[in-house]
Amino acid sequence: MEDAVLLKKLRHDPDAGMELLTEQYAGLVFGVVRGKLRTPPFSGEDIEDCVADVFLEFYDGLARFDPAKGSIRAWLCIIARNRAVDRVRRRYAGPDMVSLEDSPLPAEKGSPEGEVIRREERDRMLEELRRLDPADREILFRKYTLAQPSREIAERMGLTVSNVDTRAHRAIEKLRKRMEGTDNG
Amino acid sequence: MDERLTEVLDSLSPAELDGLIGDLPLHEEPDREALERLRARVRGARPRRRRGKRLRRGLATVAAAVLAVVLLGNAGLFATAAQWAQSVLGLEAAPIQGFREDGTADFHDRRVDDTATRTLLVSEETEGVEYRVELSDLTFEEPRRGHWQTSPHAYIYLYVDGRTADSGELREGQEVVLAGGPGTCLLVVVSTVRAEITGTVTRIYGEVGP
Repeated sequence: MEDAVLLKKLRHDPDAGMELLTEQYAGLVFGVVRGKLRTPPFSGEDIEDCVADVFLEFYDGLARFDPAKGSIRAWLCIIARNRAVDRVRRRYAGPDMVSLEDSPLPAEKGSPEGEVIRREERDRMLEELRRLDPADREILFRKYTLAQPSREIAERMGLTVSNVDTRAHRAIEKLRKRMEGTDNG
Repeated sequence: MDERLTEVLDSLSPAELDGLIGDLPLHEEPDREALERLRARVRGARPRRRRGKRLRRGLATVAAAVLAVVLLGNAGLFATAAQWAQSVLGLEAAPIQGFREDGTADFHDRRVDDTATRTLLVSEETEGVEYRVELSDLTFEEPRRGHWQTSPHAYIYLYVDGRTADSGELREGQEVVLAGGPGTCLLVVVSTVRAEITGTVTRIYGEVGP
């Protein structure tokens, strides 16, 4: 279902709209959250809690949703990633807050120039990712964002496990070479 | 490379993610039982959240009206009141897109951590200049209940050639003047709390880079 239709439904008939939204995107949102919370101490219940938070947050922000800034699918993926990372941080970070006096200042964490360089590298890698073959992009997204094992990726994409592994390896090599400037292809 | 790739994928904005996977058939079939449990939870939670939202909106409207009355007669403060109301009502600024030709810029960081930074490249090899940075619409948005264990603060640092040349505290509607240079100048925003910070650099004096 197209975003515009789904949005209209969510605004005019929230109950039916949420049924459609979850039908269409729950699988993907579960995938993103599971990718971050797949190992103990997180449980299936944590994952379900987090997924429910994602859909409720999306619903709460519906009035501010701007399709020009991204599709529903993309927004749900980003919210899912952020909420899952929140849980990981809360679980491992200890106290949520530190005073500014106690926290390292940016100068101690790395130079601003370094940050700018990292930002440029990140933009370059994103550009190189976009240039990959669609199937390779899908494999990498499934592998690194959804943390799906090769067997699962192979099932979803109708490939063999060895084919998935080979394509993933080649795509990574291609990225690495392009980032190093040794592959212009 | 694995770690870097994960880092990049984890940093994407919705528009960037669309650019990367928008053309891919990424439908994942949900587990039916889990889907039903999810729907039951969402159905149960939405009315409670709507009631809470209405109450918060009502209080915000009353508070905005009181403040507007207090500020009547002082035209100079109307902008501040408007910004305050904007922040209470949760309006958001556009994501950072770098500096515009007139030297202004927006920044929007959904997840500013304790020491996370937002770097704004002001200029390369700028001669000694004074920067006046005024942030309008500065918003500390509570990310989740229970996170406010200290009052939220944000600071802006001017780095020249990697060293701190000047710094100031960011407060809604107030101007911060930073001086430094010559050299490669960078503005870095630091928050003391994990929060969503939104702001607009409305004016920067001096030579401004791309």
